[in-house]
Amino acid sequence: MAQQTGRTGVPGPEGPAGLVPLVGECLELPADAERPLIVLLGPHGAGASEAHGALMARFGTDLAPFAYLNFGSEQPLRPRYALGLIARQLERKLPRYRVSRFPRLTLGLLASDSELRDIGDLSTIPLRDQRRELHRRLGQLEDRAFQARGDYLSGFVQVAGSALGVPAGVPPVFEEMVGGAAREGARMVSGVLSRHRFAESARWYGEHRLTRGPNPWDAVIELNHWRRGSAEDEDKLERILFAAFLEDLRRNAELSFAPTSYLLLLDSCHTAYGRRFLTLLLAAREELRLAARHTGLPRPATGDPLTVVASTHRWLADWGAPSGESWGWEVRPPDGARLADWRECRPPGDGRWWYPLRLRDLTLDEVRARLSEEPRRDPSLAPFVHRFTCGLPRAVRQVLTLLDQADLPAGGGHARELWLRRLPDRTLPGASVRRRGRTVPGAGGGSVAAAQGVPPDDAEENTSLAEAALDLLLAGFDDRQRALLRTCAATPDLLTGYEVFGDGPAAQGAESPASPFGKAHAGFLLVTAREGGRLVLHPWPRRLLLWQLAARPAEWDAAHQRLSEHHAAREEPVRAMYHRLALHQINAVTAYLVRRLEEVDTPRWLAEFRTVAAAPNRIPKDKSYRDVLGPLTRGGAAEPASRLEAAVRGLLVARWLWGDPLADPERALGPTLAARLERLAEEHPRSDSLRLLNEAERYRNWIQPQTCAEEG
Amino acid sequence: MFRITWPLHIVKRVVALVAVLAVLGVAVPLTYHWFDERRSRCADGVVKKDVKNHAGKQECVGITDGSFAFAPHLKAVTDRIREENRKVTDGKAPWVSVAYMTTFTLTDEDSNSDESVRHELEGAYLAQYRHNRGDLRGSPKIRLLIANPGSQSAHWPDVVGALADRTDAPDRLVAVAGLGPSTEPNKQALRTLSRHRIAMVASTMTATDFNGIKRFVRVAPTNADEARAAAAYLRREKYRTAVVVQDIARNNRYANTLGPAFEKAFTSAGGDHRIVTEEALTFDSSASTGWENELRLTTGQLCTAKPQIVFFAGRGRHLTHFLDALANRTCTGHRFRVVTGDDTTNLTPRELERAYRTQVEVLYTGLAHPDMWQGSEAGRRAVSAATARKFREGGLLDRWFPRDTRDDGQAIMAHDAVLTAARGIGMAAQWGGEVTGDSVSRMFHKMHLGEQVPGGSGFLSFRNNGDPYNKAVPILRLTEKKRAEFVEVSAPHGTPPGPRRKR
Repeated sequence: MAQQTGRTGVPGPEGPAGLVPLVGECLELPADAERPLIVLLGPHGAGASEAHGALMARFGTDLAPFAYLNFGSEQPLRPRYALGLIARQLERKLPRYRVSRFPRLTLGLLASDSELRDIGDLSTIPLRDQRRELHRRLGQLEDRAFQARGDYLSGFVQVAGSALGVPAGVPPVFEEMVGGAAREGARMVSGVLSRHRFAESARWYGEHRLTRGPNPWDAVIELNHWRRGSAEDEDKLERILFAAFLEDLRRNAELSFAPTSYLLLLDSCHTAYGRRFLTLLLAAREELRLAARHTGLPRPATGDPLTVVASTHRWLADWGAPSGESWGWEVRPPDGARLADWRECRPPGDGRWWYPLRLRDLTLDEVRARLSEEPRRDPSLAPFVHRFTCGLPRAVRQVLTLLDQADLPAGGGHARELWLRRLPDRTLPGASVRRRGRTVPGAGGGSVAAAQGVPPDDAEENTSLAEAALDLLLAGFDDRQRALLRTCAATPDLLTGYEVFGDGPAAQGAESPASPFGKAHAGFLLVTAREGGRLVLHPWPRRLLLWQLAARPAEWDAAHQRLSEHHAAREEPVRAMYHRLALHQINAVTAYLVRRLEEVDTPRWLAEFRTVAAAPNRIPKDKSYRDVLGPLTRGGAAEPASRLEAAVRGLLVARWLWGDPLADPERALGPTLAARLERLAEEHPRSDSLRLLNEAERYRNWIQPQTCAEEG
Repeated sequence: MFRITWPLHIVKRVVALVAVLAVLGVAVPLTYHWFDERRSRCADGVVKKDVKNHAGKQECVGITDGSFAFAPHLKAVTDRIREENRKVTDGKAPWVSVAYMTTFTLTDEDSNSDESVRHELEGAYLAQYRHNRGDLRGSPKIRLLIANPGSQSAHWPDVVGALADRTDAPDRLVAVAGLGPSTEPNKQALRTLSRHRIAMVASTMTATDFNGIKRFVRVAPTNADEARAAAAYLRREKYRTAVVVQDIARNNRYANTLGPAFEKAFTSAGGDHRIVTEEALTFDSSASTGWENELRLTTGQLCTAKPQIVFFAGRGRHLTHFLDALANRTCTGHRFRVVTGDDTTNLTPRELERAYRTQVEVLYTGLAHPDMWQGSEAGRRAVSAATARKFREGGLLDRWFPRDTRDDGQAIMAHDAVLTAARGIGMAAQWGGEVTGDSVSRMFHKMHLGEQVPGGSGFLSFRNNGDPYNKAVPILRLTEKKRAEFVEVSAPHGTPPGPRRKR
C-alpha cells in the first residue's frame, strides 16, 4: 500500500482497501438516512490510526467536517468533554459548507458546567423575568470562560486537548487542522447563547422526555441539578447531551449549504470512556430511530447525519464472545466493505448499527510498496520484512525505521545477515517504554505523547524493537501475565501453553476475559492456524516473545521441556519433537524422523517434518546460518549411524534454520535444502522420490507467499 | 424541506462573479458615458458635436451663461455677458433668462460671418446692459444666455430641448432672441420653441413666410418689405428696367421670397417699370459645384438684356461671385447697377472690398445702419436718438468694443431683438404679472404708441403675424472703405414711420 495523496495534495497514509469508498458512500447518503457505525478491529498497530489518517486526508480537508478523538490518550475523556471537543472541531469552517452550530449541546454543557455551582433559585423572580435571569447567569459563565480561554468550548480543549493528537503517519497539516480548529474556534463561533438560540434550545430541553416538564427554564435548571445529582442523574445528563448533539447535527443538516453528513473518527474506543461514548451515541441514535418511527410518517427519518468510524484494539464485552456469534456479526476484512453489504448483513437488535471490519495484515506486495516509498531502501528486503513481521502494519513501520539506519551494511552477505540477526535487540529510534505494567505506544508507531511533544514521565529511552513492539501489543497485560505469555509463546498454540503453564486446570479460566488467553483473544493477538483451525498467537508477538525467551536459557529449556513432555504424555509425538528440536535435541528428532520414514508415506512424512522443523531455535545472536549450519549438521564428533540418518539430519537442520527469518533472512538456504531433499531421495529409495524431488524443487525456486498463513 | 446543496464556496464565487459582472455592467457603461461626456464636453451645458457636412470636425454646441466662449473672437463679449449675468444672479432683484441663439461656430456652409455674429452678441449684450442697469432700466432683470445650435443650426433639436429644460427655476428662461438666418432648420426650431411656450424675437430673420408662428415676432423687415422698400427707392430714383437674378436653392427662404417680392413691387405700380427678361435668371447655390459657372453664364444674358438694375435675389456670399463674374462681362460699355437685400450686411470687410473692386455699383437694403438717425430727416424720425447714440462713434459699443464697426447693422438688430424681449418681460411683470414665455409673447402685440420699442433700427411695433409694422429700411451702398454707406431710409410703404404718441 503506497501513500495516497489527499485532496490537499499532501501525501497521507493509505487506509485499508475498501474503507475509503465505504465512508464515501456514507457521507453521500441523505442527512436522515441510517448509517453504520463502522468499527475497525485489530491489535495495536493493525493500522487503525493509519485508516483514520487516510480518511482525514481524503475527506477532512473539504468534503466533510470531521472530528478526531483518541480515547487511548492519557487523558480520561468523559463523554461531555468528548462532545465538547467534537462539536468544537465540527464547527470548523470548510469552504464548501456553512459553519455548523451546536446551540443545544452548548446550552446543555453550560447549564451542567461544574463551574456553575448552582444555577440558583429562580422561584423568587417573577415568571416573566425568569428566562431573562437564567440567560443572564449562563451568559455570565460564558463571558467568564470567554475572557479566560477565548470562548466556552475552548475550555474543553484545555482540559482534554491531549485527545486531539492525530494518528501516526498523518502529515502535520492535518494535525494543525485538528489542533487549529480546536484552538481557534472562538473566531468562528460567536453568539452561541443569543437570545433566540437560547430560547429555542431551552424549549427543546423542555420538550425532551428525560426532563420533567415543558417549562424550558425549568429543564435547563434540571440539567444543572443532574450534574450534582446521583449516578442515575449523571447518566440522564449524558444521554440528553448526546441527544442534543444529534439534534444539533440534524438541524444543521437541514439548512442550505450545510453538509449532509459529518465524519467522526474515534480512535482506541476499547477504553472505558471510549466504550461509554459509543454506548451513549448508539442509545441516542436508537432513541432517535424509535421516535421517528412513532411519528407515523410513511418514510420516517430514522437516521442522523453522523458517519462514525471507530477503532478498537479489543473485542468489546458488549458484543458477547469474541467469535461474534452472539452479536450477530461475522467480522470481515474491510476490502469488500460496502454500504449494501452492511444493509444486507446487519442483524436485528443491538448489532444493527455496527459494521465491524477486521483490519488485516499487509501482504508481501504491500510491504514491498512501503519499502519502495524511500529510494534508499533495498527492495530485496521485502520478503524478509514480511516474514519477520507477518505484515502487521506498525511492525512493518518499526522494522523499516530500523532498516533506515545508516549502519545497515549495504548489499547481501554475511555482515548484513549478522546485522539483521540482532534486529529485535536493535534500539528503535525515539522509542520509549514505561515500566511497572503501564505502557504507552512505542515509537515508530507515533505515540500520542510523541505526537504532542510530551515525553512520558517515567519512560525509558534506548528501547529495543522487541521491547517497544511488545510493550504496545501487550498493553493491558501486567508483568506476570507478560511473563506467562512469554513462556506460553514456546508453543504456537496459546491455549495449550495456557493449559501447561497457566494456573489451575486446563480449560478453567482460559476463556475468562481477565486471563492472558482471554485478553489475547479479545485483543486480536490470536489468529486461526492454517492447519487444524487452532487459535495460535500472531507470529509477530510470538517471534518477539520467543526472542525474549531465548535470552533466558533456563526458561527456554524449561518451557520446551514441559511442553515436550506434555505432548509426549498426550501421545502427540510430532508436537513433542517440535519442542525437542527447540531444545536442540537434534539427534533425537533425527532418529524420530528416520523412523517415521519407514512408518508413514512420504506426503505425511513431509508434513510432520515441516511441523517439527518449524520449531524455534536458540542459536547464538552473533551467528547466522552460515556459522551454524555445518556444526549442527555434523552434530559433533560422533559419526552418524547411517547415510540415511545423516541425510535426514542435514535436511532437518537446513529446514530448521531456513524457517527462521533472523537466521536466514534472505532464504539463502533454499538451494541447500533442495539438494538435501534430493540426497534423501537417493538415500531412501523406498520413499516417494517424486514427492521429495518436487519438494526440493519448491525450495529451490521458492515463491514467497503473500500472507503469513500461506507459509509452509 | 428544500435546501441548497451546492458548494457554498462555488456559490459565493458565482454570486461574487455575478455581482462583479452586474457592477461592471452598470459601471462600464456609466464610466464610458462619463468619459465620453468628459471627452465630448466643452463646458457646463456645452458639448462637442460633429459639424454637419464636415466629417471629422467637431464644434461646441449648447448653452452657456458666458463662462464659455464658442469661438475665441467672442471671448471679450462673452466675458462681459458672464460678468453681467453674475451680477444678476448674485443680486437680490428678480430676474429671468433670455437666450440669444444663433450659429456661433460658423463654416463655409453658413451665410453669416464671424464678425456679424460677434456684432450680434455685442448688440445683445448692450440691450441686456441697458435693461438691467442702463437708460432703459426695467424689472425683472434679465440674465442673457448664449445658445449655439451649431453650423447650419444642425443641432437645433438638442439645443432647443436644453432651452426648454431651462424654463423652470433656477433659470426661468422666458424668451429666445436672435434665432439665426431664415433657414429651414431655424424655422423648425421656432416651431419647437413655440410648442414649449417660449417667447421668440428674431433679429435678422427676414423670409417673408416666417410668420404666423405663435409667440414669435421679428425686428427685421420681411424680404417682401425689403423688396418693396428697394423698389420704392428705385422708382423714386427713376430707374425703369430691371432683371432679377434668382437663387433657386430650395432651402434658401431668404432668396426665394426676395426675388418675387421685388419683381411684384417694381412692376405693380404701373408706368414703364418693367423686368426686361421673360423669366428671372436663375442659379442654384445648393448644388455643390456649378453654381459659379451658372453665375458667369448669367452675365452674357445680362449683356444682351442690358437692364438699368440687376436685382440679385441671393445670399451675400454668392453676390461676391456674381460681382466677380459681372466684372468680367463682355459688354464692358454697359454700366450695371446691382441692387440686393440685407444679407449683404453679413459680408466681411474683405468680401466687401473684393466686391467693391469689381467697380460694379451695389445698392442694398440693410436691416439697420448707425447713420440712419443722422443721415436723413426720415431717419431721424424713424430711429430712437438715444438708441442711435449707443451705436455711433463714442457710443457705448464703441467704447466697449472699439475695434468693431457697427455698419453691418447686426449689432443694432440683435440689440433691438433683445430689447424687444426685455420690453415684453417688463410689460408682463407690470402690476405683479407672472413672467412666462406665454405672457411675454402676448406683450409683443401690445407694443403700440408709447410702448413701441425704441430700437436702433427704428421704433418697433408688431403685427399679429409677428412681422414689424412698416419697418424702416436703410438703402446702403458699397464703398471703397470696406464699409456700407448709408444712402437713404425707405420703407415698404414708401416713407418710414416715426415715433407714435399716445393721444
